[in-house]
Amino acid sequence: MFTRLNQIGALLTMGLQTLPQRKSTAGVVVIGIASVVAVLVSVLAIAQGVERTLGDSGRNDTAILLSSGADDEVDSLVSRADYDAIAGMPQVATAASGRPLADGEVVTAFPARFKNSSEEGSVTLRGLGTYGLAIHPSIHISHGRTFRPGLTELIVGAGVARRFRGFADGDRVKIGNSFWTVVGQFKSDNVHDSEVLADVRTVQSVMDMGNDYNSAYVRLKSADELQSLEEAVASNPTLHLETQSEPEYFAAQASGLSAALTVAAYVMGIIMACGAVFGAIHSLYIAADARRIEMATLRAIGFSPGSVLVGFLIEALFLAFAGGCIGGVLSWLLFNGHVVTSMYGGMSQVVFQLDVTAHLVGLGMVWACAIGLLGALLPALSTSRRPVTEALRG
Amino acid sequence: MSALIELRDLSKIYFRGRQKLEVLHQMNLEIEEGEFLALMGPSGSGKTTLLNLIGGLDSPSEGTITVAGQRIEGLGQSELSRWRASNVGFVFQFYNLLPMLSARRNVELPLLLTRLPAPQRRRNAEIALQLVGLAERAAHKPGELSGGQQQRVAIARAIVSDPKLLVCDEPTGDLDRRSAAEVLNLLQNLNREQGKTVVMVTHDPKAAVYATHTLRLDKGALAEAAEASE
Repeated sequence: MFTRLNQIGALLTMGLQTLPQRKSTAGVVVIGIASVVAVLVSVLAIAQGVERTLGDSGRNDTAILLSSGADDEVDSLVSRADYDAIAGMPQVATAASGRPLADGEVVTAFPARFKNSSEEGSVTLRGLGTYGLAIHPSIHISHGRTFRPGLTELIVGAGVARRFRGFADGDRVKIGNSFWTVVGQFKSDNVHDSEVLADVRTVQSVMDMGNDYNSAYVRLKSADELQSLEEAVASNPTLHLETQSEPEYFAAQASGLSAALTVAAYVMGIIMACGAVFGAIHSLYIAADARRIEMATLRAIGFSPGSVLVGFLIEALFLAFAGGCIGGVLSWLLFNGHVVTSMYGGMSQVVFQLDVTAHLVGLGMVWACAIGLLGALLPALSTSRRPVTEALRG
Repeated sequence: MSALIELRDLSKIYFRGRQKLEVLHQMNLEIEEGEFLALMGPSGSGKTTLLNLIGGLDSPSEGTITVAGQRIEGLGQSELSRWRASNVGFVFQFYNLLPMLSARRNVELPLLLTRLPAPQRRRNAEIALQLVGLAERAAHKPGELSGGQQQRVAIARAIVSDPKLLVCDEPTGDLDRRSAAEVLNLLQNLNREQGKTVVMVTHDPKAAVYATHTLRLDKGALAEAAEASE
């Protein structure tokens, strides 16, 4: 074992010392792997941002009710009568005033211009009732004040303010045929961060939406009441609604997009990795051929084929590690904290922040090492198994 | 003197496609310990193949090879590597030094296969360089040395682990007359003073003069044997 380690150490030292003479072949391996890692980590960072923004939010003691068959709030219609029936159910918690902690909400979308381009995106306007802010405790007014009932005032999510122009305090925003005044800004750690909020009655009236809602949110007395509420709603023949907890709803909304992004990341990663593996195989064959006599000499003087194999693989791992580091750092420098928007709920854009986490970079490094090992295996086997006499002949 | 190397009914056959090439045919040979043997013969006569078989770089198609009492023809690749490391020193026509390493580190390479600690390895490498008269060039890389000096470094590498057998393939083939004489004198001294058994392939009759015996090969068989006259 001692001499085996000596041999591998010597082979590695020699391999690394000759890297400057093999800049181009080593560069192909490193750059190929760096590209794979950068793309994989970046796309996974988007998927993770989606997952974090949509998937891991909401409260277990808050239920959302949508009309049967609706996948999201846009496709849902909850009548005023249905809402009243739900709000009156015994599972629903009450506010200090004794009124039920329930909120009928409407959502609609309107066009808005992105800050750094002339392109238009779409922003969600959500109408909240009296207890809207209480039912969505993730929403915190960061500056200004909240909207007042009966007035065309709105508050803007930080994600909207960051990505779209014309949403500063005091700005007048044209939605449909009316102008709404921005009176404050809020932050939220979930999808609401990409919305603007206003009084539900004013939205219904100004946007000509009638008295119906898109969804009903209720705060339950406890999370355990969810099943009981589900059963109560299901057993009421006049209600054609489906009940979900808020986390279930958000997770369902997130799963499609984040799964698609994750699949895209891995598909792209695998395709690029195949290219990088073949690139590495080609480059490492060239490198092995350039060092053929060197390796044959070492084997002639007693270096074992196994040591040559392992030394070659470790050298490739070094290159892969370097490529992985470069890819991870590139991804971090270019995308960490970067904000992107994506369509959500088939209607509007949600703002996601890319988080190039240590976990993702670690995953990228695992890919890098796997690509390096796969790419080096054939050249390493060929070098270590080639008859010494044949290799010495050149 | 007893035989260090015994070859019995040794044959080596190569296949090129369907073509069968018998490079060595039923050869029997004994090489005494302390002998300096020159193998001569035309190209394709099988002398390098014979040298490779003696040095454990290749395996015979038939027959046996016994070196210092050990049969090596059946050893696997890893076993042969270990056997070569402790029994054979190689000197190649084009030196085969590793260009990125200093002369001392080149010489030290075979010692990496031993359990010697690093300072001892370094010391042994320096002694070997001293023996070939290149102690003062220990820190130089091969590119900074002449051909003759590089071959002497290669000889230092061959003897550093103190093998009984030196296997030399055209060791002067790439050298001018003066450097060739230096290298051959060195091999002769190692043979005479250190008792190394030397088997050398050469095309050059003037190089063969340094050997104690010369064998000629032709078409894979021993053609004649003669005592060398110095």
